[in-house]
Amino acid sequence: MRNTAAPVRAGLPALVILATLAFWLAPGRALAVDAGQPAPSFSAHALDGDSTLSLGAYKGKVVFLDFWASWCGPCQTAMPLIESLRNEFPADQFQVLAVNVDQDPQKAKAFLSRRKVGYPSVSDPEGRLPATYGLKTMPTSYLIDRNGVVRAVHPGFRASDLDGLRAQIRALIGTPPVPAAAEAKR
Amino acid sequence: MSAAPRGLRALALAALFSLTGCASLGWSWDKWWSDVKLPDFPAFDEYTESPKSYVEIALEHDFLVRVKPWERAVLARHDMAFDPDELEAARRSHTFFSKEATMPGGSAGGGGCGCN
Repeated sequence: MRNTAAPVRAGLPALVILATLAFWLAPGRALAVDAGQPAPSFSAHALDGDSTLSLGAYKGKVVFLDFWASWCGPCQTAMPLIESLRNEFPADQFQVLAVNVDQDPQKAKAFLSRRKVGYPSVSDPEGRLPATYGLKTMPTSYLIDRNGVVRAVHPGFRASDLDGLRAQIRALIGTPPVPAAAEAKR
Repeated sequence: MSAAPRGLRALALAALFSLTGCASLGWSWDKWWSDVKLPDFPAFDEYTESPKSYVEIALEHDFLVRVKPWERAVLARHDMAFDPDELEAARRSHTFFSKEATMPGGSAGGGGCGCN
């Protein structure tokens, strides 16, 4: 009688190796922050000084959280446009906070000296914050409402995205913040 | 000697000539090997003698890591592109499909009739 189990047995090590590789290379899915979830709070060093900036300090305002790097082409397109967007809304309603992920912060500083923007950047050379937020592409920005909940995730950037972003920000600014008592009940 | 097959004898002669030829140019296998720069990898010597498979070595040293989107600073460098010089790539492509009389050159299969 033919041994029918032999081919199966022969294929098993290959299957185990493939499964291991697939596991190793599988993208992290569960960790990504998505719309409707609270934005993970953080405190990090500002890129241009010793001060510490935290996301919690922006609570009560609509925040555009932008992850950028000096080597990222679309980020260079995005930054002046984000700056113009920031100037369109009152500062007590809307703020932009950027997270720079350059492994060498000097490169980010050199980049900012060429392209000045008014909004602050925190420096995260170890990439802890993008890992926390589960970034899938560079750049990615998060639109966070007054209560610290992510309302939109915006992967990549094109100049044509600006109108959509403006409309989203306008809608969020129009939404009044949830009163503290109601929020505690939630 | 006459018992050796002709092909084998030719191979042996070729090997001998290649070695002596190299030696006459002041270039020997020993010298070649001593000039080879091994990768700067601390555990390399350990693994050249070890019976471990490449997969085991790779798994031990985290060779199989996914580069995260925010870690692509080196990959984003100009000299890491497949075609660092776009103009040169376009010129080569143009020369290629002109010579081969196919359209478009290199990016699609074709029989070379110029009609595809």
